[in-house]
Amino acid sequence: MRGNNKHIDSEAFRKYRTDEMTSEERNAFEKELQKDHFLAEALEGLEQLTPEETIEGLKGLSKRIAMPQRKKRIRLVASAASILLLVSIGVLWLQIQKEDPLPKVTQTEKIELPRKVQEKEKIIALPEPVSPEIEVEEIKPLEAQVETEKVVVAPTRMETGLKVSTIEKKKPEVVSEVQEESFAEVEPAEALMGKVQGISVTAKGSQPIKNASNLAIPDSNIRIRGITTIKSANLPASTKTLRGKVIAAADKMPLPGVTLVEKGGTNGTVTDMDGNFELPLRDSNSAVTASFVGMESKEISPANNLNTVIELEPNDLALEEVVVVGYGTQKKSSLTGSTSNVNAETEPESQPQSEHASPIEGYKNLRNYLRQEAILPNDYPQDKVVVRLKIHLDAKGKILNFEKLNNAPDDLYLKARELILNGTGWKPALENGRTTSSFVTLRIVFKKHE
Amino acid sequence: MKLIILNRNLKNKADEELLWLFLQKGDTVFLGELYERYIHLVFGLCLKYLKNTEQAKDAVLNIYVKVQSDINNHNVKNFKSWLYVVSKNYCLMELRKTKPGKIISLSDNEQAGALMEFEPELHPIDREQNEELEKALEDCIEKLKTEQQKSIRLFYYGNKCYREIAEILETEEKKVKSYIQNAKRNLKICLDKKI
Repeated sequence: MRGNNKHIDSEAFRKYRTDEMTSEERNAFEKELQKDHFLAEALEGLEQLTPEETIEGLKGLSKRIAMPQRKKRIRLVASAASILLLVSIGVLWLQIQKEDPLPKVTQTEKIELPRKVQEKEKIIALPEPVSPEIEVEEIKPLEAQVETEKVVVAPTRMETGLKVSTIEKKKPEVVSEVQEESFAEVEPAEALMGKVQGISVTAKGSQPIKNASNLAIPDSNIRIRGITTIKSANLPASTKTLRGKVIAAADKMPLPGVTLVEKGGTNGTVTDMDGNFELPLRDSNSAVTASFVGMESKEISPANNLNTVIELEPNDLALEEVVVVGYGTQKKSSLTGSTSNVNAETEPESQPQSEHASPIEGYKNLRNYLRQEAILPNDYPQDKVVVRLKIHLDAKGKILNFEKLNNAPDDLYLKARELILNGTGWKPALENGRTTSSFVTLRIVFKKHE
Repeated sequence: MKLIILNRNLKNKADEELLWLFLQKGDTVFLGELYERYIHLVFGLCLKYLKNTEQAKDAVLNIYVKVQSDINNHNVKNFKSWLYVVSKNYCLMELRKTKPGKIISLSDNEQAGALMEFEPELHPIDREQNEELEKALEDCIEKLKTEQQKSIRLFYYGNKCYREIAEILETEEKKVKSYIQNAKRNLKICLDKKI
C-alpha cells in the first residue's frame, strides 16, 4: 500500500477478468493484489458480477456521485422558485380576500363594454352628419348620453330604461341596430335576460320589445356575475358522501365497528352500533374497503351507488388445527409456548358418533353364553326351537321390556327372557354422540344337549 | 472510464494534492474525483461483504457521504488505505445490523491474512529488494514445501500468473493462491527468526 504503488483502475480489473492481459501483465496485476488487500477483496467482490455488469454498476455510481452538486443547485433554485410562487399566490389571495370579488368583475366588464358601445356609436354617428335632418342632430347627443349612462350605472337599469324609452320614439332605427349586435353577444345569458326583460317590461309597459333589447347591453354585465356564482356553487357539490350499512352475510345482522377506509388515503370511518356508517369521500371515484376481524375484507366502488348495504363473508382462514411437531428435546426452563403430553398408547381413539346398542361383554360372549344356557330338555318334542324377541333399552342401557316376534312356545320365550335378564348388561345406543333409547332384536336358538 | 467531465488537471493530480485541495476549499469536486479513483474497489469490497448488487451500490453512496463527513475529523495521510478501513467497517456494520446480536467473526484463514497483509508494513517479498534480505529470503524459500516453493518462485521470480502456475503444477488457481499465501506466512515467520 505504500511506496511506488501504481494506480490500478477499473479498466485493469476488466482486462484481467476478460483475459485481455498477457501473462506478464497478469502476474504484475496479481502481485499488486498480493500487496494490497483492498484490491484483492475488491476483485473477490467484483467476481460476483460479470465484467459488463460491473461497468454498468460503476457508471451508474459515478453519475450519482457526480450528481449531488448539481442536484443541490437545482434544489436550491427549485425551492427558491416554489417559495416565490407560494408568496405570490399568498399575496394574490390576500388581495382577493380584501376586496369583494364581485364588483371587481363588473368593473372590468364595464371598461370593456363602453368601448364597444362607443365604437358602435361612432359608426352610427358617422352617417348621421350626412343626413341633414335637424331632428336627428338634436337627438344624437341625448342618445349618446343615455348610452353612457346605461353602461356606467348598470345596476340602476330601471331608470335608464325609462329614459331610453322616451328617446327611442324619435330614433328607433339606430337603437335597434345597436341592440341586434349586442344581443348576439349576450345570447348565452338567456336565463338572466329573462328576468331583466321581465323587470323592464313591467317598468316600460307600452314598448316592451325595444326596451328589452335595449337593456340587453347592461345585461351582459350581470351575466358574468350570474355565471361566476353558479360556477362556484357547483364545485363543492361534487364531493360525495357514502352512506350505508354493513351486515354479516350469514345472519344479516348489522356489524358494529367495521372499518371503512377510502383507498389511497387516511380517510375512513367505523360503523356504529347498528352497522350504519357515513363516509365523506375525498374522491368520489375511489374505492372503499370494509374490513372487520374474522371477515373477508370487501371493496366497493361508491361511483355506482352512494347508499349501499355491504355484506361481509366470514373469513374461513380462522385458526387452523394446531399441528404439533416435535423434534429433539428441550429444557423446560427454556421452553416457550404451550405443550401437552401425548402418549402413543393413550392416543384418543376416534369415537364413533352413532352406534347401535350392544352387549357390554360383546356379541361373541353373549352368543357363547346363550349356546350354553339355551338348552332344550331331552324329552322336548323338537330338537331345535328358535325364539325371536325384541329388547327395548332406555338411554342408560337398562332393559325396559321384551317383545315376542315369532310364534315360539311361551315357556321357551319366558326362558329366553330370563336368560337375557340374567346375562350381560347393555351399552346404550349412541346418536350424535349422545346415548339414546333403542331396541335390539335377538334370535335365540334352543337346542338339545348333545 | 471516468465519466465526470472535469478539468484534466484534476486527473493528473496526486491523491494527496486532491485531498489537500478538498480540505482547503471544501469543494466536493476534489473529493468526488478522489473517490472516483477508488470507486471500483469500494464497489468490489461492498459486493464481497454484502453479496447483493443493489445493497452494494447503496453502500458505495453511503460510504461517500461518510467519507465527506468524516474526513475532516481524521488526519488522513493515505487516502486509499483510510478508505479501505472506512469501507470495510461500514460493510461490517451493515452486516451486523442485518443480523442483530451476531458478531461476524472472520474465518481463521482470513484472520491469518489480516495479520499478514492488513498491517502497513509490507511483506518482505513484496518490498523492494535488498541484498541482505535477499539472502535470508532465499534460505527461507529453500525450506518451504515443494508446492509452496514452486509457486513462490514462479510467481515472484518467474513472473508467471496464477493460471500459468496452476497449469505447471497441474492444479487449480485457487490452490495456487493459497500456496502463495501460506508460503508468504511461512516466510515471514522464518525471516522474523533470522533477523
